[in-house]
Amino acid sequence: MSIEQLFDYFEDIEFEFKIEHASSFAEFVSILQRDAEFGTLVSSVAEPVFAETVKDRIETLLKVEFDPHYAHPHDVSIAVYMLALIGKDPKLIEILLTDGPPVEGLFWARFAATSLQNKLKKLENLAVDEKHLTFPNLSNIRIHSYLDLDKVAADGVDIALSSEPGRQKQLQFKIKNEGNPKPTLTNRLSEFYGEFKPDENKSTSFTDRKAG
Amino acid sequence: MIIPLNDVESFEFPLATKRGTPIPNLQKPEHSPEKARTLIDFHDRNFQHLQRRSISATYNCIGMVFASRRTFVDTKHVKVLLAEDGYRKIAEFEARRGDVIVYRNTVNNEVVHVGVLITEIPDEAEWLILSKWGPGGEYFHKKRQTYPLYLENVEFEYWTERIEL
Repeated sequence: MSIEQLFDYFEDIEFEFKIEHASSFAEFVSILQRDAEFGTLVSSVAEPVFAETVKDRIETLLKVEFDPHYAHPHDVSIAVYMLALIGKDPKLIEILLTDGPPVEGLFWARFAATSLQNKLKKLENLAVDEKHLTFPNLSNIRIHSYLDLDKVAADGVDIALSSEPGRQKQLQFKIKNEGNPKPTLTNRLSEFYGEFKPDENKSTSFTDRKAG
Repeated sequence: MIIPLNDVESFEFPLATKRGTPIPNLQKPEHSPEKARTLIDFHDRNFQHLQRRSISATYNCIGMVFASRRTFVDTKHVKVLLAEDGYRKIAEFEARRGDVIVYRNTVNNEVVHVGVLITEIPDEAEWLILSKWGPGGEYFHKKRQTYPLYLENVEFEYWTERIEL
């Protein structure tokens, strides 16, 4: 499916009808997670050229003229495109939070904007230097930047995160032993929208670990 | 162009439980008349067997039941609304007109939908329910005649705040 076909799909009334039954933003995201075309969109924006195309589409839709007494006609599709980009390249659309006059009539896109802001805050706190670790009983584990969760797929390791206590950056990681879930679209989206809660008691300081 | 922030903790309208706990809410902008007509046509094609009461977008099911159709309230606030508005859980056979049906997902124990019991359907031992489907239409329907999303791993609960002597 081409990016233009994806645009047609997400901007069609049938898609809007489906997603406009969500009773909460969590349900909105849940509907997206089950949507095969959204998975295709997320995969597509991994290519920078497609990510730029989607960003341009957001900006085009935001500029559409409409009666400000009513909802923005492309609220749903703008939110969908934002969520796809938040997962891959949130900095690409950071400008949507900072530059220009506010756009009225949005609802779902405002939740997406909040997700974007939260994601950017997390990124600010990350030590994004790539680290190489070795754990007992595990092999070939590399911790990449937060955006590269696809690559953090070594057996037994699911999530990598970092914090910045005080001035000294300190990478922290967490090993989950819950059936070794792969970083699927579902658990990556869950990560973006707040379901993941670091367990301080189980997290281990990188500096406390010794390679080998 | 800036997209304003918002989240489920916004307090757009003064809304609180009977005990005074503030309930976050956010009014969704109304559909334009053109969009509303398109949605009505679409609803009619897909749910022609159901009677629609309204196509208003400003509130969801929680807003319909607990906020007089004024605003959109996240489903996660149903727990405190039930607890602090004097509701108690009852068996289906105890339910009466005006009581509330809660759709709960048994996998995550989260409320996904609520509606109001309107009347018992003669000869069917079933309730006719009025509920709002997200920002979509407000419908009269049987409990399993609703949007499929609400029916995944669902269990039905009946709640009332009736005071009877």
